[in-house]
Amino acid sequence: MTIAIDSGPYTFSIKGLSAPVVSELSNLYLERLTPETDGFYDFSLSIENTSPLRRFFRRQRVISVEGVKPFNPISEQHLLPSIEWAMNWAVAAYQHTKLSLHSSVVVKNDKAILFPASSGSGKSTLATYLGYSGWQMFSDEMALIDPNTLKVSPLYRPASLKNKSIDVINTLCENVNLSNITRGTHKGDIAHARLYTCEQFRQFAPTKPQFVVFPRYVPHKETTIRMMSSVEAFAMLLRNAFNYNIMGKQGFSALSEISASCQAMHIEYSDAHDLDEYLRGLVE
Amino acid sequence: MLSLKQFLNAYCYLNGLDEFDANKWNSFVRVLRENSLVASFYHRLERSDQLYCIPEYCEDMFLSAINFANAQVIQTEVQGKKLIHLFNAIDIPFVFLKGAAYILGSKRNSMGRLMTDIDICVEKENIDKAEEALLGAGWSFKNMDEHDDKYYREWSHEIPPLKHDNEGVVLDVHHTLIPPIKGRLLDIPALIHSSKSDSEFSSAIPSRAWLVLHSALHLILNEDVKNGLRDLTDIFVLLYGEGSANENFAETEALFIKEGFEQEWIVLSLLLNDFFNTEIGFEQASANLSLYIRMRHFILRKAIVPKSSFIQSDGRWLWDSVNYILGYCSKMPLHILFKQVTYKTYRNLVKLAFGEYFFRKPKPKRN
Repeated sequence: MTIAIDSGPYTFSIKGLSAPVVSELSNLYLERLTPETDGFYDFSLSIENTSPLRRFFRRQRVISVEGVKPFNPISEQHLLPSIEWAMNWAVAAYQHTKLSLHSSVVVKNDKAILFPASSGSGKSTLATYLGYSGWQMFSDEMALIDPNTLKVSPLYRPASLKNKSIDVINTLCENVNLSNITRGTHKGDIAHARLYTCEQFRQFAPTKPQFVVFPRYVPHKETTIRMMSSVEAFAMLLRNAFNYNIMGKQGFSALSEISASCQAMHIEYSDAHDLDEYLRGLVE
Repeated sequence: MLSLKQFLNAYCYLNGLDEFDANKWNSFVRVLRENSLVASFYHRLERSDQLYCIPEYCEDMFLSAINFANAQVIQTEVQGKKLIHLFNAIDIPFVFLKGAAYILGSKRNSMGRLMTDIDICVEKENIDKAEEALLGAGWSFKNMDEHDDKYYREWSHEIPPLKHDNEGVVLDVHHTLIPPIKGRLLDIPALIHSSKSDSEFSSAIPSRAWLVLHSALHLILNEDVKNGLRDLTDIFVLLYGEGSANENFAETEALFIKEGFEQEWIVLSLLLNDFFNTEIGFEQASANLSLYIRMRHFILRKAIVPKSSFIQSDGRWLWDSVNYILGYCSKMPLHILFKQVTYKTYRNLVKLAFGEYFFRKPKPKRN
């Protein structure tokens, strides 16, 4: 089957999917997933077999993104998270008109907070919890910032939860819409959480960040906040920027302006509810 | 999906774009992206004042590709300066080849052209010294199996590819332009001294004729023509995009003949006529065609069309396979060809049966 996904700023065409995978994706994207029709798509993905033999014996699949196969092949059972990673890879590899940061983004009262951090830091878990608790979660993985307006675009993408985060979110967020768990991927067990209906997402609008928070989950630790200088924030943002070097001066200026205009802080926490209260206070 | 004719009409002649609907644009830019041709095509459209043809929904894709290509120019200039400094310090004359030479030589075909590595050429007597200097400057050899290492060291025209440990750049160091084992030797000192020395980089940029010769040999005497249309576009823009095409043509033809590549020159002239409708030299080229030229031209014409599921093309695998064999035959003698083809065939059969990733080491699992 060939489907189309409209994530908001970008559209994806995905070929070669089986009905069960389409069904899983439909649960995550609702009516933003449609059968592919004629037209233009920003990114094209294709799920392919790796060899005639492996089509029937221990079936192996590989994802081609615009003719490039950036990942090792996987079993059919691991397709769902791999498709999500491939969609992220497509944007990171080919989109260079917006500054892209490895960061989750939440918004309240027209004020965006960026949580830049590398994989495994808990930024998806935090963003998912906040998104469930009344914030607008624009992304759990990638902040796309217009270098002219400095506004962050909302993405209609599910949050990707790994290992213990799945239980954490199941506990904290009652009745959250979770996909089936894909077990034993190279990143461990993965589940995806959809927080919004398409109607709710339509209320989201590009928003300027006001705060940059570098979060760190430390078990049993009281919420501890350390304010950062704009220079320190710039250095940290730089580490989490996918394409500022490709965007050249424009990317550098955008990062510099964000560092200068946002209040940056490093926060260690163990209680997401406590952190939520503090962050609400910031955006009141 | 596009017909082959629609694709070539749009890509080569910049025609028919204003009649493309969203579906055709989708197919067209997919083929460009799969073949790293998005930004260079944008520049060709810009030079012919046809940017208005690009619909709004495609603009972001083109502008992203332009940003990527511009960043590559900066990276190439930085690496170019470092290499010039390194080789000047040990007094080894060298030239950049292909993509790096086009960028550092500010050739018009470099605009938006992407590349995966930097190619340089030194004389064979300097290759050990060059290798030692590079290893001491943070470059190291990429991992490869014993067969591939032997292929480079004994049969090829370059040493195994080097990668910079900190900067993620790949460097190919050549000592000639085609594998010497076939017995066709080029005047490499003449290549290296064909450069001028009137600016920072120009002392390391071969003359236009040498650039065309190298690109043509890479296209014609090669089993892999994945980037064939890009290479042919380079040659077209080098010959017709700057200065007097007649003079460029005469100078380049003279070099091909001097270096013993008259047949390849004819094949090139025929291909330029096929894809870009060029006329200079075509009548002369098509006057006396040997069987070799006819065959090479016929196969290449079929094989260099980009592979893509967005272009209708029948029997593409056949032309690729024939070109694979002819390309190898062109660059190595039979006894080595036999060993190489046996090895590659074994690997390809295993990949066909068990998947193309059979020989790739799995990534370690993360916790």
